[in-house]
Amino acid sequence: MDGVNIVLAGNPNVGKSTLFNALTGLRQHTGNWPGKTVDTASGAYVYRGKRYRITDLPGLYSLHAKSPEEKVASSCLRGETIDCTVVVCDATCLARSLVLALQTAAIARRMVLVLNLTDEARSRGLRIDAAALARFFRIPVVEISAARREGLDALRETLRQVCDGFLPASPAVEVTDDADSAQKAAQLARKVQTCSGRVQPWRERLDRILLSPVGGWPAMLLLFTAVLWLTVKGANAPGYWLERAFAWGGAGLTALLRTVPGWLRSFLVEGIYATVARVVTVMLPPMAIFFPMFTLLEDFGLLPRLAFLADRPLERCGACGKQALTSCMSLGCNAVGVVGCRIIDSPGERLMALLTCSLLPCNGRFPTLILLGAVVLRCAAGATVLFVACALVLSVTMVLLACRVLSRTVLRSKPSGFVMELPPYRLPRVGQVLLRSFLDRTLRILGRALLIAAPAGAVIWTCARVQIAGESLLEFCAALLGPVGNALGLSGPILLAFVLSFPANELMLPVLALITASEPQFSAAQALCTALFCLFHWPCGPTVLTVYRETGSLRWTALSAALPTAIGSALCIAVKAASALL
Amino acid sequence: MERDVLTADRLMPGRAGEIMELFNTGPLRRRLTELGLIPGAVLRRRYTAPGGSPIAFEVSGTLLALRTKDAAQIALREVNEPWTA
Repeated sequence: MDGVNIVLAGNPNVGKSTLFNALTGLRQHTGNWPGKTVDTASGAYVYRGKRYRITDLPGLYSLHAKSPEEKVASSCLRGETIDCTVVVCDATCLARSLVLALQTAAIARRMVLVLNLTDEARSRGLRIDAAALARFFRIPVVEISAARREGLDALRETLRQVCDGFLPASPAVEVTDDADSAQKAAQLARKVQTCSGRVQPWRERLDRILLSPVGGWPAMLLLFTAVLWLTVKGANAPGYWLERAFAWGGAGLTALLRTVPGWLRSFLVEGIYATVARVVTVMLPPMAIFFPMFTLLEDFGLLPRLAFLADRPLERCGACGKQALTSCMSLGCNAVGVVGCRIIDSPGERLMALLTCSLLPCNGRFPTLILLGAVVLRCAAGATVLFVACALVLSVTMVLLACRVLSRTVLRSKPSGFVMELPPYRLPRVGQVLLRSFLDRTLRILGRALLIAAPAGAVIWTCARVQIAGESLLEFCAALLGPVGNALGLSGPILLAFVLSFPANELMLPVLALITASEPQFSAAQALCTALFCLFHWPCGPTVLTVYRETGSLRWTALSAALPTAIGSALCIAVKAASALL
Repeated sequence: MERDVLTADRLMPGRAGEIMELFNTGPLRRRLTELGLIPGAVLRRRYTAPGGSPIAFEVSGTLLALRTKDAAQIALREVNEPWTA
């Protein structure tokens, strides 16, 4: 089966990745904000016995690119081995989409134009004369709605006919530079588009609230607090049931392994099983609730509005509004946030966003914070929400402070201009998004638990049994770290747990349980310091590696580790001193 | 920029203007051109963030956010564009 090479190009946020997912069955991360795709992705599908390889490029506005990612995409489009270039255009925003289409048509050998979001355009009363577009470019034009899976069969058939040579698809267009292509695009859009003037008032009303000087922040904060509240409250019961289920499973496992030697039984049950159980019990309920909701907000189109509101405070600290987006990504996984910093054009601002990613609590740390919050405050779920909300506010404050300091010391750079598209709200299919995200998140957490928590549990259990000079390796290390731990308001074992949870942040509490050979206990002051250190300490292993990969510099990687640690230590020492005075 | 030249940041909310000239320089200028902000394009001021920056303009049916100090480099001529949503 020989293959056909197809490249998907288009502006950011036109639905290329949604189309890619629909055609290949893969699951690229999609979201309603420009810049979601920062890496090229490859996949394939088989149609009528032929294999079609698709490359999904990051979005670009023009081929005369300046950022490294756009240069990669641009040179890919000029490549020799492409059988057909598919340019995806947004039917609701034709003039802008056509800029890249015109530039690509000038250099592509074979091209197909895809009009996506036709359902959105229809609902807004926009009608596009696809035949006229096809005549202008001399290539096929296919109308689809990738999210609704409409028009995909027609697209596959068109691609087959083009690549087999039955359908002419050689564009005949000339453009000179950006201004020329922008002008031609505007003219062409005016010619082929008609608007029957139907308005969608609810989108306007919502933007009038969210993008207003007065209502914007309160609305955003209310929204995020509601999401947090649902997360903490909703995770209570499932967490309890998971704990019961795992305890029952543990008892069963112990009984099953009656005949096995004691040490092996302990290794398997208390080492591996208990660690995995703790990780899953603590992480699964809150994250399987938070992330589907967050995905919903993301698909809806809320994140660019957040960047809009956040740009001014970030600008005053030498950063830019897009850092709000990378920070949101860091809430899922710090490493993902680091990669996401590619959406920031200016190198200085990009580095700043990179270095501050780990100041935000990720998947693995959130649940630890919830647990510690319950200890510190010793009361109902409502107060825990407040605790977590305060933790997030503290994180954000530290990000701003860190940016301010960095921009005045090591990262002095000329600020680039901030310009960002605010895409229209898109109503996602709520049920489908929630279910998909829930299952996806559950599988991811379970997978991580098995791949990382299980081996970690095994190793640490072993270290607790290995003897050095009369005490176990773990006790020895804990005693070694004792002075530092106590100075920070923590303790030797707690600090050791932080060190040993370097591979993955969610290991912290399970590892502590293994070190102390019991359920972790904290005094209120200790819990507070632990929470602070949990928020601000060195990034986890994968994040450090990713920072190194993105910056290529040991110096910046070291700074990315030192910065949060320094902040955490300072805060812990301050709290310890304050609690000593009280 | 002289006081009597209308710039995008001085456009009243809801009012539209036709771009006469872009005085922005460097990478930002290119980015703005790619996004369709060229002489002849019409932009309408819609929303302003707390603190006065950035400003959201409507251009060819989409919303673009621009910092106020960068918008101040776009010279406009006020027009009466019919409202198309």
